[in-house]
Amino acid sequence: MSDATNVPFGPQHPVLPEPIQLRISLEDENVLQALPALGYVHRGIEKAGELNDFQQNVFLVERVCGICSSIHALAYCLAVESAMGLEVPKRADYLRVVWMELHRIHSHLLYLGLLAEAFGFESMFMEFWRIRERVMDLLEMTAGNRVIISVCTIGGVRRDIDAEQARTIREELPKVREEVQRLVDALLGDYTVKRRTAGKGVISGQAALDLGAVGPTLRGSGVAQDMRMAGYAAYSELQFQPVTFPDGDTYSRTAVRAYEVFQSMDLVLAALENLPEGELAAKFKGRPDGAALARVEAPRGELIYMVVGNGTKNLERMRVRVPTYANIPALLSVLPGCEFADVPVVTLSIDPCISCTER
Amino acid sequence: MSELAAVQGIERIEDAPLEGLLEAVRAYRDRRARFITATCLDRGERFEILYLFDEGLKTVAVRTFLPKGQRLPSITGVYLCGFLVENELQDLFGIEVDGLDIDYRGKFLVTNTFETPPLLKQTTCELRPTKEEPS
Amino acid sequence: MNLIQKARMKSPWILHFNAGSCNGCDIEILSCLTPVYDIERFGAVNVGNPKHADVLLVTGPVNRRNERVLRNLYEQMLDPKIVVAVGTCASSGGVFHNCYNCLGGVDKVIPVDVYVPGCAAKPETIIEGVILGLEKLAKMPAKPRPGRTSAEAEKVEAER
Repeated sequence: MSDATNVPFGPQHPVLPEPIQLRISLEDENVLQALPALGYVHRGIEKAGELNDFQQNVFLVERVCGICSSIHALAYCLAVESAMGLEVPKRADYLRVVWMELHRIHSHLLYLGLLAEAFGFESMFMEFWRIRERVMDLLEMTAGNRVIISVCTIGGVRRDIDAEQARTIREELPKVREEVQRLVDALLGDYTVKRRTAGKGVISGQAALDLGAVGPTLRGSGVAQDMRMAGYAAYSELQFQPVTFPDGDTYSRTAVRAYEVFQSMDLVLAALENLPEGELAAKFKGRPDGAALARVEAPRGELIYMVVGNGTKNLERMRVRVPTYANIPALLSVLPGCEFADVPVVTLSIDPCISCTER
Repeated sequence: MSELAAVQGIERIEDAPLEGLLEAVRAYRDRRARFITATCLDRGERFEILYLFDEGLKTVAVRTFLPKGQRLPSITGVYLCGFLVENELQDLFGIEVDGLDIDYRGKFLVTNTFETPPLLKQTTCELRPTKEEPS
Repeated sequence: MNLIQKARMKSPWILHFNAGSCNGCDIEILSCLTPVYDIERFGAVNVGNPKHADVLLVTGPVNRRNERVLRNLYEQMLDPKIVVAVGTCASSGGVFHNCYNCLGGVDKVIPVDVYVPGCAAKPETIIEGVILGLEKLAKMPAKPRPGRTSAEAEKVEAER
């Protein structure tokens, strides 16, 4: 490969919100090989999780990633609860669903905006983010903070959604839905957008499974696998069917996320509709002794926490496997053969979250 | 020297000796299980390593024990996507992996900065005396 | 206040660097650019080139690998310049205080002018922080000050 040109893509690049470097070898305009160089955001959270008290860890794991923070907290809490054999009150389960789905809506709208910007559709980026602010307002109203909402705690949730707030959410979401619908129609129906995304970065369902891909990357290849089907929190009691698209290209992955926004809105409304009365959090004594693994569906895919307790207030081991970590091999397998100008869009199509990946 | 008895959320844990590890992993590959990740625990004299797989939303695991100082065979020949986690094992636990497909040689997440690998027990993460700026 | 200083106040150009942050503050900085908060009404523009920038917004506790990148960026910026540390972990390390790969705050590496609190810092707070920094920038002489000169500026100074 003596005539190959090596191009570093990142760590500071306008389409990447975070520092990751892809070392790309090119022949003319075609990508021959891509390798990631990580480590710019590695902090050492798995070790800090052993040094902290297991209850303090809830606040630490929320800061593994700011975009899907509450889902990290949920996964950690589920793992500790299952290690301690705690029963979570029904109301807490439903409230968790409300917050997790609001979080998913904001994360997917963020992705759709960034993707629009990556192929030069700046006004659509602004529109998606303008609508996203209304979801952020709902999060701020119910949880008191916009991004890191800190609602989960071991045994349940820390805050309640009262009737007034529930009414506001019920009134606001259909309006947001209408606006998102208008934009999604524009995004998915547009000829230029199709030219930029359809057939780019194709990965077949079997290849996606073999490479361990998860979340919208896997569902965009036609594989119906979503951890919400396993029915943690209150998902088993809500009607849930995963969204899939068959083609496995950037367009399919985007469409999965776009339709998941609507699905999440339905889930929020259904959870508020069926919100049972009761306690917010189970009281508990004792410390985790024993190991547990929890798998939940974060916006980017399956998120796994494994905790190993030893009967003291510190954990023996806290293991985090995040969705982007599983999607990187799939990304590396689709980049060879792409044109260099498509690399930003294809890279963004797995919705990479580097601060998750490196912890 | 303790080991995990059972893990809530993992359907079954299958023990494999170090030399039989690749066969055990290949059996999952043949059944089309999806590789999730590997998890390592520092158990004093040895490492306890769990390879997690997904079989229809159920989690199953292959476990092996690696005495400290020995080399771990790489599973990248069976599951290519294992290269990320094996590089991480090299970095954070100081385990040397044999036959790694894409090898960052211990410079994947951290750049050789610590006296002892950071995720081992009883380490204070002392910095190595710096000679020069790492390249 | 001469014309150049006035112009600088009216249109600060901002460079954003993520030094190992959790993304929370970064998406809030992006939110600042979008229609609801719209910092462009203050003339602020987000640029990618450190030589063009007056304000460096840094998020994250700074880890061992990007310490050097951060110092490089700071030294490439021309004087006068201000540094705004956005978020609790950029100010003090915050929740990452006991992480082995974190240095614990931007001020361990480069001098900081404004600390913006919050985890994640809200867009309103970030805008306030930038405005506070601009007040400081207005009082700065165009020449590099002792103690915070970049290596490059020092060399130019010596050659004069």
